[in-house]
Amino acid sequence: MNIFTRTSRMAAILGGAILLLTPAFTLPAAAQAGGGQAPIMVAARLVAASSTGNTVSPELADVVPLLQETLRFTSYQLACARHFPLGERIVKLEKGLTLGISKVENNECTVTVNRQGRPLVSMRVRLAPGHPVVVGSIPDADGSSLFVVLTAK
Amino acid sequence: MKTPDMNDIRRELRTRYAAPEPPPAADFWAEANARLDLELQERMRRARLTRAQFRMVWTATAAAAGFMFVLSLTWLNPRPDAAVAGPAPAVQSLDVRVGHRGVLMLEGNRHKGTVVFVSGIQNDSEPVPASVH
Repeated sequence: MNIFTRTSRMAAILGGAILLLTPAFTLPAAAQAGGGQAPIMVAARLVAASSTGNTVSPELADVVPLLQETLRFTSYQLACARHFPLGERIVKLEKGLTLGISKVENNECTVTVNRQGRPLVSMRVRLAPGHPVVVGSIPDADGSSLFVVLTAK
Repeated sequence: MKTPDMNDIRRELRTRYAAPEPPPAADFWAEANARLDLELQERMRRARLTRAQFRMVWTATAAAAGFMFVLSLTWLNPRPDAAVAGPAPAVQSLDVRVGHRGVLMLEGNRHKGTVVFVSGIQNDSEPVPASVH
């Protein structure tokens, strides 16, 4: 085969590969610049922890290892779960608790835990997938301790 | 008897062993040119890359160029996922607005996550003014 024919063929293959690969790198950046990035989804779960019993809600399977590693409770029960896109809002939980989400910047926000309208804890957090943020313990009337678990998806 | 001298010997040798007829000049040069062409072809063959060597060099060059291209694109356009994931999430500030005994900030070792443990929250305490940490 003529050496120039082979060179031209290889150059065409290389050029084609570059043309195919270029959109894979440029489109995500363009989508981000154009505001096309999907909002971060947040799950807020209210967990009632106690030292009586030894039960764990199956819905908490992803965070119970962390809770068991850092806390000394034996029972973790899911009281309620809320899912919402990250943005300024009031999220109503069970047991008279509400979450106030404000000052949202990218994946950071200010979270205020309120009980009966009174602020208990306010904190500035950075949310990222696979890294839950847990805040508690808020004493409940039945003797259990309440924890708010925030996870990003 | 006459002793032959050198002239007699030369004469006798010329008659017995005649010198061959020299070839025509055209034939001589044709053969010389043919030998020269063969020699030049052999030298060119030794100097030229074989097909396998050329393919190897070209493949390595193309791979290096492609790698540099992808590397430059990755460097110029970081994926947005990486920017979102960023460093590990952290509680950057904390403000407990009611009476309490203490605050523990716990990071999981085996399991990723941050636990803010506020102990002794008093339900009936007066609200504490907001502070900046």
